[in-house]
Order: sequence, then structure tokens, then C-alpha cells
Amino acid sequence: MSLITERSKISPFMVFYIIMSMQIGVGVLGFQRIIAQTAGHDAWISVLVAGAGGHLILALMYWILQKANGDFIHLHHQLFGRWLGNVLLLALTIYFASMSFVVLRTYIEVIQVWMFPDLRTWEFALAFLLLCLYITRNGFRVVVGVCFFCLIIPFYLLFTFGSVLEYTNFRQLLPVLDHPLPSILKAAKEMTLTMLGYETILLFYPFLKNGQQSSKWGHAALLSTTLFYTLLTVLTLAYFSEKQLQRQVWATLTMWKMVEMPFIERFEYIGIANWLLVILPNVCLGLWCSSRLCTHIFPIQQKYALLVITCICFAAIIAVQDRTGVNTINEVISKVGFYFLYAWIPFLAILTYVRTKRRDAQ
Amino acid sequence: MKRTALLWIALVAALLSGCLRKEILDDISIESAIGLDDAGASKIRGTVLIPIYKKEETTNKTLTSVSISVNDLLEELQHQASEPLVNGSIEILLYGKRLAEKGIFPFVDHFHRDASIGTGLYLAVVDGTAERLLKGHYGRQGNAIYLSNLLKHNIEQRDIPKTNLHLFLKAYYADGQDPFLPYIRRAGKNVYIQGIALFRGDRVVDYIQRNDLFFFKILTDAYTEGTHTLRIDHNLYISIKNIATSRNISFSGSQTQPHVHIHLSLEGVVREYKPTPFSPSIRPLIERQFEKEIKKKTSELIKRFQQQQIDPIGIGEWAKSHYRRFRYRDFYRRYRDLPVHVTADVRIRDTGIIE
Repeated sequence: MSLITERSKISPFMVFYIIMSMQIGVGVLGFQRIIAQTAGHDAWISVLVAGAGGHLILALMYWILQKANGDFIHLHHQLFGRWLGNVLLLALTIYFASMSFVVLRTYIEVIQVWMFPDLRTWEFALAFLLLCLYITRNGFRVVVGVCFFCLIIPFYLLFTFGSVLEYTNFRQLLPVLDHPLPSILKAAKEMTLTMLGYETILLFYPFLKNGQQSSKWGHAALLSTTLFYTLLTVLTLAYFSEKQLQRQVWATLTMWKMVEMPFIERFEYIGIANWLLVILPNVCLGLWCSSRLCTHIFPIQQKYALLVITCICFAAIIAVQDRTGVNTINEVISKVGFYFLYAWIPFLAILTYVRTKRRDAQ
Repeated sequence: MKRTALLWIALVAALLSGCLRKEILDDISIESAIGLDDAGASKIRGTVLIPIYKKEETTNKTLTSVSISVNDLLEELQHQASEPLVNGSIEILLYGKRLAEKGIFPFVDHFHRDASIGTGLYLAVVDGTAERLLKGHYGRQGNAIYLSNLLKHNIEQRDIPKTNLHLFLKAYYADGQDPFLPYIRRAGKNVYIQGIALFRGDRVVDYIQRNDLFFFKILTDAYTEGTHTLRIDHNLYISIKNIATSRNISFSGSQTQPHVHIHLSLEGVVREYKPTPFSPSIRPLIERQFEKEIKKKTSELIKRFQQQQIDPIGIGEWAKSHYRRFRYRDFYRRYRDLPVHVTADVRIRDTGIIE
């Protein structure tokens, strides 16, 4: 375990900002259609179910981290040995890197469809990734600072949804629980991509002063995100009629089309531009996590690992060319994320449990 | 050295990102209204209104062309325009009566799909052609602002139910509701609202006349400030201004045999009373009379909707949120003979500053 100096550690309450800003990403712009497809007007229940599932998994993560003395990487080596452990960690590296890549590519698509059709993917990706490189190479504390500001600054966007209230009809949410339980659970599963982000705790945990104390802040962040998503889902379901919602690729952005202000004709442009701040911590933290993993697998310094990963991300972003490609990468990362959280983490917990039992017995 | 290289890359990237197409306000023509008319053989005749801002007042310029689709039409019109036409600021879309009766959805889709168009813009059906209406000259702020203001204040303060592109699409896509749009007409140098055009799917099938608008609004919208003049005796009139309305639609009976109950409650103030002075003692009488009138008129409207097999009120949507596992098809199969019972409750709150 490499030693982390006290100087580069952060206070436990910062976990709140990290997790929340990591969770809120591009998914928010259009998750409503996907969950309403199976759960209809009960989709908001699915969001709550997904949130509850998240709390469970987060609690499991904290338990594993406690048993592993806070070192998730070392745990893999202990449980699976050097070689297999490295293979698994490499998979994890790819997972975190691809999270950055998916978020950025999806955001670029939004810009291309809504604002600048002639924006070249590589131009924006290059500029954005350079910014991320600049932030991330200065270490974890700087990344956390970005997380903090990128949650606080776009916070005002929440109030803009007030202007759609005039056109909402909350009776559309009735009758509650009109859909069978399996479809509600299926929609909760579809929520995974939008909920993803709190698993980064596994890697930045060693950077916390009093790691276990941060658990309440982690749960608070998860709860806030869940409530925010529930609120947004309820508003969306009350605003659109069911079949109309199915036609909206980015329901959140379409809702902004109703915002009218005397000084701005199309508010969604402001919203999309501001969303850059929302996805900035997503990409930065994803890059940071994967580069940190790299240093434990290969004999390489973090800043060089970062450079390599960023270049790979850049290449991957250019390779995805159209809407279908973007949809595919979103679906894939959503699936991988789901199995990582709901299969891999419980599996690790069981292994950890068995190991501690055996050690106690000895 | 390395830092300088990084700086260079950043600089190049920043410069390259600046090479996007710009739209400078002075160098573009902003479309403010579009009118579409039927041109036979599944073609449409489109008229685009461009405001020209001058020091004194805004003048209007129209461009007209015939084409097969809206997008094609707008492309066609670019050939006539000296500056690129952009459609980020459209206030109102007008559909000629003949086109509206054939179905307008294919000609709404373009505006729905375009990311640069808001969903708060108005749609209206024109008695006659949209082209003729747009070629008039109304008001000092330009035709588009004139028309949208005309609709806006009538929606906010009078008897036109809330309507815009979003609500039209919402009702169009909903299984339990049919859309409606304001029905306007040009008369010489003026435009007036003639009533409401009722749609089945995306085709206009019926029109509501001006004197029924008050009752239509209290049926479809939660809130109205419309005024209604009630005739009590052959010579006795009272004008009541509506302050607050609430409507509740409830259902009794099973899903296969629903009974619909519509309850309307109104709160109003007396605006005018003639020819004798108003006395508080006749207030209950007026209230009962008004209730009777509301019941009669709204029941007539509902009967009419049932005969036309249209549902502008959205009774189907109300039913859906009442019954579990609701099925629209079964509901609308029996729609024509659905027993609908209307009750009204009127309360006159005050009588103005005189008694």
C-alpha cells in the first residue's frame, strides 16, 4: 500500500460533493423515456427502488473497505493473487476510463444535435480532454475542488424547472402502482446508468481522513441524488403524455424549451452550455480512478498513465460516429455498471466475509 | 519545454473550436410566423413572415412558395431571401382551414423535431387561408407579435383555453384526449378569434362558436376569467365575470359500465346588471339560473363531442387515472353512449364597488 500523506487527504464531508457530482451526468438529460418505457407513469417508483438499491450497495462497499483496511486494490491482490488480481483490476481500469469516454461522447452528441451541428467531435473532445488532463494531473485534491464547484455552480438550473409547472398535470401519475412489479424492477435496472458514480468511493477511500466517518455523507449524497431524480421524473411524467414522452430523446432538454425569459429566447442553450460543468467532474474523476488503478498494475507513474488513458479515450470518442453508436456504448456501460455493482460487489463481500471468518477461526 | 508544447496544443484546439458557423443577428432574417395552406395534390403553400424592424414601427415582409414538405418549403424560400432564414424565434404557426381538415400532423412534425424551436409557440387554424391573413398589416409591432398577443391575453384573461405547441402535441399523442386549437379569421384590417377548432387525431372535424367558448373553457381548463352575460328575463341581463373555476370529473360504476360525473364550480363577480338596480335578495336566483345555464350548455357540448367521437376534454385521460389496468379502446367503443352527468355550483362573491 502506497502511503498517502496527510496533506493530500480530504475531509470526510467532501464525499457528499464527490459522489453527487459524479452521479449527476449526461444520463439526467434523457433517462425518463427509458424508464417510462417499461414502468409508464409508475417510473418514479422505479427511481426510488434504484435509489434504495444504491444505498444497499454503498453500505456493502463501506463494509468491504472497512474489512480491507480501506485498500480496495490490495484486497484484489489478497483475494485473487497477484496475477488474477491484476487482470480484474485492469478490467476495472477500463471500466472507469470508459465511463469518462461515454459521458463525454454523449455530451458531444447533445451539443451536435441541439446547438452546433457542424461541431467536429474531435475538436471538442481534444479541448475538453486537455482541460481534464490539466485538472487531473494536479492530483486528487484538485479533482475534488472541481467536483465541489461543478455541483454548486449549476445548482440554479434546478429552479428553471419551475416554469414547466404551469403545464404539469399530476393526476397523470394516478393510479399509483398500476404496473406489475417486474416492470417496475426492470425500469429500476434501467436507472443504473443514471445512478452510476458512487462506486468511485472504492478508489478514493484511502484519500479520506477518517474514512468510515464519511459513510453518512456518502449516503446523504446518494439520497439527495435519488430525490432529485424522483422530483425530475415526477415533473416529466406530469408534463408529457405517455406516448409523447416516448418520442423525446432528451426529455429534460425538451422541458427547457418551455422556459421563457425576456432576455433569452431559447433557454436550453444556456442549460446545455452549463451542463459542461456538470460532466467535467464525471470525466475528471473517471480518468483519475483509472490512472490510479494503472499505477498499481504496471510500474508506471500516475501522470504518464493518465496521458495514455486520455489518448485512448480520445481515440475511442472519435471512433463512435452516430446516434446508434452512442446508444450502444451507453447500453454497454449501463450493463457493465449494473453487474459490477449488483453482482461483483456482493460477490466480493461474500469472499471478504468468508476470509475474515476463516481468519478468526484460525 | 513540455509545458510550452501543451500550451500550443491548447491554443490550437481553442482556435479550431471557434471555427463554427455563427449566426449574427444583423445578418439573418428571423422568421416570426409561418402559415401553411393546402395547395392540392398533397402539396402545401407556405407563407413565411419576416419582421423588418424600423425606427418607427415594424413592417412585415412575406415570402410564399409551394412545396411537398415543410422542410423543403423552407429550403425553397431560402432562394428568395437575401439573408439566411432562421426559425429560432417563431411566435405562431397558422394552418389554413382546408389543410386543417385534411390533417396537419405531417406539417407539425418539422417544428417538433427542430431543436431551435420552442414548444411555447402558438398554433391556430385560420378561417380562409393563412396566406391572406399573414399578408395583412396589423399593429405597430409586426403581425406575429400582434397575433401572439391576441391569443395570449385571451388565454390568460378571457375564454380561450390554454394552448401551444406542447399542449397540442401532448393531446395528439395522448390516447384519451383530442387536441383543439384557436380558430381565427381576418376581417378587413383586423383579426378576430372566431372560436375553437376541434380535432379528431390531426384533422379538424368541428368548430365551437364564440358564444360557446365560455362553457368550453370551463370544461377543458381549470381557470378562466371569462365573462358571461346571462339573460334572466326577457329584458333583464346580468354580466358575471368569472374569478375562479374548478372542475372535477369523477367516475362511478365498473370500468365496463362507467358513469361520468362532471362537477363545475364557479366563483364570480357581478360586472353589469340592467335595467333595475341589483338587490342582494335576487342573488340566489341568479346563482341557480346560472347553474342551470352551465348545465344545459355544457351538456349540449358534451353530447356534440360524443356524437363526433371526439374527446377534447380528455375524459379518457381522467378515466385512466381513475381505473386500474385501464383500456382506452373499450372506453371509446362505448364513448358515444356514455352517460355524462353535469352539475354546477355557482357562487357570486361580490357585486363590484356598488350595491
